[in-house]
Amino acid sequence: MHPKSLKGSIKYQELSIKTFNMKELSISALNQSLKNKDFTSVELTEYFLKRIKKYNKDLNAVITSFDEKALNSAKLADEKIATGAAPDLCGIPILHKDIFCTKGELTTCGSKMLANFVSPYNATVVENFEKSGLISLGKTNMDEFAMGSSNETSYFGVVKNPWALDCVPGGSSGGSAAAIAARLAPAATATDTGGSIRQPAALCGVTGIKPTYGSVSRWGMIAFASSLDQGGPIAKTSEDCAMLLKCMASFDHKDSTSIENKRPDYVSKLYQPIDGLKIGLPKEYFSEGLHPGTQKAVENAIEVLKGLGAKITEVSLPNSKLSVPAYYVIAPAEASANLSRYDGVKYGYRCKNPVDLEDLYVRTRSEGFGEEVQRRIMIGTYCLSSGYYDAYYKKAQLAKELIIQDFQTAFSDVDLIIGPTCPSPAFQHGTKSDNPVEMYLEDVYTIAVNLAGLPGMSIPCGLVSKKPVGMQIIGNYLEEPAMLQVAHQFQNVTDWHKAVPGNF
Amino acid sequence: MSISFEEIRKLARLSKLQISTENECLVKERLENVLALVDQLQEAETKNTHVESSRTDYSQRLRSDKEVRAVNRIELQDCAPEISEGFYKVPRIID
Amino acid sequence: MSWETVIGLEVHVQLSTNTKIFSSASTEFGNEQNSQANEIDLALPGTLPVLNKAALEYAIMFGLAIDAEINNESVFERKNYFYPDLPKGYQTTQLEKPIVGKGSVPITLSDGVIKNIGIHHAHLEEDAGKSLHSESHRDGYSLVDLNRAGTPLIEIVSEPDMRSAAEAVAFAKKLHSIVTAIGICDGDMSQGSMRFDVNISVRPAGFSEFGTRTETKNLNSFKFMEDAINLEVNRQIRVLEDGGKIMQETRLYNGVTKKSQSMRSKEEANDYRYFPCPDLLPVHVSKEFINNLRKDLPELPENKKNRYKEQYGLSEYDANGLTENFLFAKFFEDSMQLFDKPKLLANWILGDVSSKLNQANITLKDSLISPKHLVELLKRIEDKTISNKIAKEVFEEIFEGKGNADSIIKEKGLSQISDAKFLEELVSKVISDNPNMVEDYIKTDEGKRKKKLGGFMGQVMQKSKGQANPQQASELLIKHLNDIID
Repeated sequence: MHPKSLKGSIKYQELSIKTFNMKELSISALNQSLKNKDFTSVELTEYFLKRIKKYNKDLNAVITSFDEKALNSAKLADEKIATGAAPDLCGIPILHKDIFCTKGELTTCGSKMLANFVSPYNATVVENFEKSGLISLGKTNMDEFAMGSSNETSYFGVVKNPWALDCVPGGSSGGSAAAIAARLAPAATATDTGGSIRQPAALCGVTGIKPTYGSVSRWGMIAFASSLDQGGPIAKTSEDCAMLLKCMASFDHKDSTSIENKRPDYVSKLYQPIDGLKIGLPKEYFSEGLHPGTQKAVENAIEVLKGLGAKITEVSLPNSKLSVPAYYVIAPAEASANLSRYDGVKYGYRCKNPVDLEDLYVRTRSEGFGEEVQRRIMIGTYCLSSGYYDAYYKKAQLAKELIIQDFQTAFSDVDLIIGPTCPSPAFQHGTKSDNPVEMYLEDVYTIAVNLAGLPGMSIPCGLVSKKPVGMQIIGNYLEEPAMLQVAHQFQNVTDWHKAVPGNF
Repeated sequence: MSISFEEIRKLARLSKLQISTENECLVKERLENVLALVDQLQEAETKNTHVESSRTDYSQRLRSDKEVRAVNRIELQDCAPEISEGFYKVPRIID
Repeated sequence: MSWETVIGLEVHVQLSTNTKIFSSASTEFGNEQNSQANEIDLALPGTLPVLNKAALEYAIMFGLAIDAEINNESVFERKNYFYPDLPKGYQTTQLEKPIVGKGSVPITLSDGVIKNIGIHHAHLEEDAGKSLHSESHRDGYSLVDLNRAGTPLIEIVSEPDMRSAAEAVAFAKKLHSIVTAIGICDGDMSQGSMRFDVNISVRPAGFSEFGTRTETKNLNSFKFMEDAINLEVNRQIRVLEDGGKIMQETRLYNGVTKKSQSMRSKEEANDYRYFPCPDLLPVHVSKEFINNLRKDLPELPENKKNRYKEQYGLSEYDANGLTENFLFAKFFEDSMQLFDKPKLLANWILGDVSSKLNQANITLKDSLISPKHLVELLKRIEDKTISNKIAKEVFEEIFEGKGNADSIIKEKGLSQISDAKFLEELVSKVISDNPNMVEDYIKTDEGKRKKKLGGFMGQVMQKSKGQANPQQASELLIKHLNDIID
């Protein structure tokens, strides 16, 4: 329902807000509407805050809702818009994964360890959005310290998939993905270390992108595995993600791993046709372990891309099987050190009445961290300990090199690599909790991308038993524009991204 | 790959974690699940591989030696569990 | 059984940069607790390190000063352990690829022989915070101050080339003079700017294998280091002579009680699980970067010492004394600008100035003595306004800040008395008052008479309140006494 089409026929002032299906408007349309004063940022913000209030008890996607603070920001945004000199995206509400530090508000990281932590500073990502006038609506639920693929490890309870409330939304950015799927906000930030943006986006039928490592500042983004962590947006469409990424990604001198190269113009190629674009399908991603329904959906999607002019070939990533083992050495190793700062001394949880220093450390950490976090810390400690360092940590770094080489070989033949995001659609809560490795294998297609530092995105491409299926697009370093382009062109001729689960 | 209870206790000590005796068996089982996964790495043929410099070939950036802004101790200690006259208070350190 | 001592040193040098190694908080000493610990130093969630350019430069300057290899790629690693003064639960340091590689430091032994002490490497790392402890252990507590956390350090690791406490002290002092001369460290040991860990082992003389070594940590004075080494060497020899074995352990030396004790065994806790820090990238330094630092490197103490010997004709002892302490060297050179008497200046600086500073337990920079002050005083000796002896008195006053040479001489009426008539009268009086001494003098052999003058001089000085011009008085005494003899 495009506002412009109504202007001519009905007196402007009589237009009720309800005529605008705010939850379905794209970011670009919201932008336009705000500038046209079809509605105000305050109205828009109130709308989404109400939706959060109404639906969050069913989903548990949002940990903290900013309410008053959001409305105040919206008021200021409206004033800026009124001057005519507001930046793009000014006044648009956004949810932040509770891994991004927000000054003066709780940042819990889904953990008891930080359940009371009010950050004295803002993450760069949050600053970037606030400087552009977006309205921080609140913080979304997540797997504890970003460790998980189902959003079942959060101290604040499991998140439910809006498509099937008895199923997981994916993780660790389950809250952000579920929130977008249920239209609780037009935009959300998330992070991805082994697939934590792409996998929940796929399971929830929304679009999410993890950019090239170093594109988005990690300042204020609570660290899990420093060499793999990367922030990115989740939204309804590729075009939305492109616009959000433009704001989110920036060089930050406070982050030594922030790349200094000029970032590509993420929106520049969106509207260009993809004739002649070479797309590779890794044969390792279409073999055993892939759910037949998922496979069919992805294959159909590939046919669509063919129809748009893309050239499809088979490629091989022969060292794929090393990705999950290598990741489960490197990520826990880095995490074991990154989480050593949680000791009850400077901030966060502290056990009651510690009898001595050892007791302070051990009880604070054993009470403050959940089971999965503790397991990964121990695995990480094991892989780094003397006697095991060479066999595990060093070996994993070498395996990582092989994986990187595989991608470079493939990219010498093709522009992009495409495959399924997840091996199957959303599974029921509790069904992968017995053997941790079963959960780890959820990320079998996404992990290699983080190890290589490459950009990866997921877009909805089908429904299997009414549950969404995602297609993953992988590009070479800084090739986000081409990825977003393919995704947008696909979304131009398909409707999967428009599907909304019934009750929302 | 199996891991002994002794090794698990050592890991717990190094990580400052506590595993209750009731949980020890479950923890052992699950750790062994993960170790079985990561042991697959040993199949990798990495003899002729070496780790390259940072993937993006960047070098560590240098910061100029200037104080940027004064520390606001009150603000930073607002989230602290226990403060005594500006010090962080912990149970006595015994060397 | 004759024993040989083998000593290696690990020296922590605090770099005198304005800000910390990975954060831009100030490194100034002595401010209120936790007023210089920012969000990065406190290891708040989400914070990240960025390397201080000056810290890197200072480390390279040290490497250049000891003729060491500068590694054009170096890597920061995490050393993992838990301690309240270590906010991140790991220390960012360097292990496999340090910034400075092999080098050497020449020391002069007591017999004048020059010995080269090998440097294994030097690396950059961050300092930890500090803690204060309550009196009681039970229900006790500790208070943590993270101001120092993140201060840049270089850790200099020597080869086990030293064979005595004297050599170790000479090496430590040499390092001290180098790092202060090139301006990378303020050298203030009382503030902990330089700390020593000593690795000591003994072996039967003639053996080539090393014995088991122990480590004594955190010594912050040359004296403590010397005492600690001698104590430990004796302890080890006793143990071995009794048929025992040396345990590899860490010890702490108490400079007050002069005793050392073994620290609780941290055998297991020593699995530091080093791995490259993923928040930092490898540090690459170009030849150009290094050459620019080499060009601007301040004069090294060794070169300065040789220059003083050549240019000013100073002795090895004097030149060494002046250049070992860069504050002395600067003071000397500034004084030379005003008064071209190197030997006299050297005597005063290494003599009266130095001993006054030691007495007051302060350094030159904290004292009230300036080159101008000293030169004014020395000029008054030269123009015979005061004697050398009186000058020392005046110097005391200047040191206390009571004025300059002229004002003090005037105020206290200390001008040397050179009035011939006055002196004549005085000398005559002394001679006539002491007939026994005169007789004694006459009876003494001519060759030995000079000694006997002392008694007369003493009286002359006493009666003139020390202000008689000693040379004149002495001449007059001899003349009058000779007249009596004749």
